[in-house]
Amino acid sequence: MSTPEPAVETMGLGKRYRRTWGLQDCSFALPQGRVAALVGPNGAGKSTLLRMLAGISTPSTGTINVLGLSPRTQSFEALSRMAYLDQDRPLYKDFRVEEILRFGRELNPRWDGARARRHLEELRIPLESRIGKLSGGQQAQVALTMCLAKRPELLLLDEPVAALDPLARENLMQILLESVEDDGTTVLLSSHAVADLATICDYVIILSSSRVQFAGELDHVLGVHRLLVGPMGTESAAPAGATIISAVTAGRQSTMLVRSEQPIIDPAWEVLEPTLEEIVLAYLRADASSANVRSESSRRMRRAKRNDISVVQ
Amino acid sequence: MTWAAWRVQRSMILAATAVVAVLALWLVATGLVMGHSQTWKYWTDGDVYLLYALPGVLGLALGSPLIAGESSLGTDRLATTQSVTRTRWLAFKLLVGGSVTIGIAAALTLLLEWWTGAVSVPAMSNSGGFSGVRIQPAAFDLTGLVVVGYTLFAFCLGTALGTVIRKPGWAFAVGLPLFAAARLGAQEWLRLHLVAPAIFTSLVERASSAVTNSWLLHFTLLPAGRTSPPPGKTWGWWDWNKSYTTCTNQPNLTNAEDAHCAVLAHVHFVFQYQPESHYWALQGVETAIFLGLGLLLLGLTVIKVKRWRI
Repeated sequence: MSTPEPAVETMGLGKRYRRTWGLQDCSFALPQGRVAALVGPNGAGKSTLLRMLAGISTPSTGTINVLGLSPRTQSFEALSRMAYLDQDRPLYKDFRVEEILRFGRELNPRWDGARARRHLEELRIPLESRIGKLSGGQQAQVALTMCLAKRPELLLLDEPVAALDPLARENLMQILLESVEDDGTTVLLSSHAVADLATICDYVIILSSSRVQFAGELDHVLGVHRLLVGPMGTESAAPAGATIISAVTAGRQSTMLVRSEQPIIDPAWEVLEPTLEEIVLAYLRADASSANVRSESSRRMRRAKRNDISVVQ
Repeated sequence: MTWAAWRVQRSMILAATAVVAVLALWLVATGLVMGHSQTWKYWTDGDVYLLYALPGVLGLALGSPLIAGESSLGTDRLATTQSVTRTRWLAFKLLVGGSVTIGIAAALTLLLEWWTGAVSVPAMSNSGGFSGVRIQPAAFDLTGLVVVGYTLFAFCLGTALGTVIRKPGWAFAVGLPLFAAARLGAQEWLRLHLVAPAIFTSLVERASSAVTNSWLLHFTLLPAGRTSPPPGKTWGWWDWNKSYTTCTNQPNLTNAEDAHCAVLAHVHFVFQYQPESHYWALQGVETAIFLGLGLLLLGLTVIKVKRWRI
């Protein structure tokens, strides 16, 4: 179902905030029709990446191609074929739900109002409610409905499940899957809830330390990572061809997650297949252990980023 | 998209309309009572100054949140990711905001036109009422086209400042003194140079009724034959030559004697003034200048918004 042209392609993408990089040297190609998870710790550059893809943030370096278009120079074409959910879910709080739908209809030539109404009806969100009076979760649903009603070919979602209860999460995942099946929508979503993602994603992009650590098919991610368990003291001696992502020592036992293109046959280790969550955690842990060194610079970066957002947006 | 732009700005538009509506009631009520009783009451000088500030306050209130309101709430990230370029979205916002500003300013100028007319009664002119000479700054600034020009300028100023500062309250707060400076600059300096003034000369220090019913710009004693100060001198310079001062320094000087002294000393009094007939020319030019400044600010806003990224 995928065509040769990727839905999203970035080359050497970088975003510089005053003194530090929010995202650096980011290159990946997301094939069409995938549901991709963008995972990484806070401040890894997930929102920065999604904003640049949506065209509301300008890259400092590199190029972006979304659906074969540049979000900057071909903004109208790109915007009408993709939808973006900001992590703050900005909505006009004094609007009624039906008014925000009318707003969407007026600003989008391709607008599926019936779909939006049906979706909101299923969620039991009354159309005449003021948006500011809705709960955080309901507001998130309204914002997501606005995205889906565009019938986008590419859906960029920044932390879509953050404000949702487990039931709503499942509901959201269901809706996304329907959209992917019906329209062949490509989804790129960032999340902390790795466990939820594993059920619907077929592509993973791991960001940490402002860089892409891994981008590939879920099967490939699961295939090349292995969990090695052995006696304490052996963690420095990884099997040949394997890169250690992170190592943890608990009691007299040492566990490490490695990445290796070849199968690992080493009697010193017990080799296990990790879950996606374990892989992501290992990358996050690796990031945290190197964070001590970078704590000053990363704090500055976060501050710069926060300032930038509050001043600019 | 007009509806969407209107809906986003609705609360500010309604607030501005409400202010004008309340003011209308007060102006009509006090105008009727004062006109009927021929006495100046209810209004202090301070209150009247508020009327001069009103175009700035209304224009800034409508302009400041146009961009800054969205960016401070983050809704620009919603609006600019719909299927519309930000230039187009801005154009619709400016169209709606600008039209509403023009409507509100038009209502304001009609109201003030009527009110200044109603209180332009000779009996009141010494106690605070207007003289009835519309070209004098007191009435000029509250009537005609300039009220619309000032309001639209303030709207553009608020929009541009909001685009830079991105906080509507701050844009308003910074805009108010800037508006006041622009208005004072126009009134105290610019307006003196816009339309060539009329000149009246006299051998005695008494102006004709044409001058009294006008806006007097300058008045001084000059050498005969001159209608403006000699090079290097300003209008504050008086040609108090000795023979004229000695000649006029006597008690019970008649007008004829006074004039004779001026002839002997080769001096005369010069009055430079804007007659009432220049009212619309002056209104037109000053309005055009304020609109031009406003358009310039809008141009900067468009450039800034096009480049605007997080």
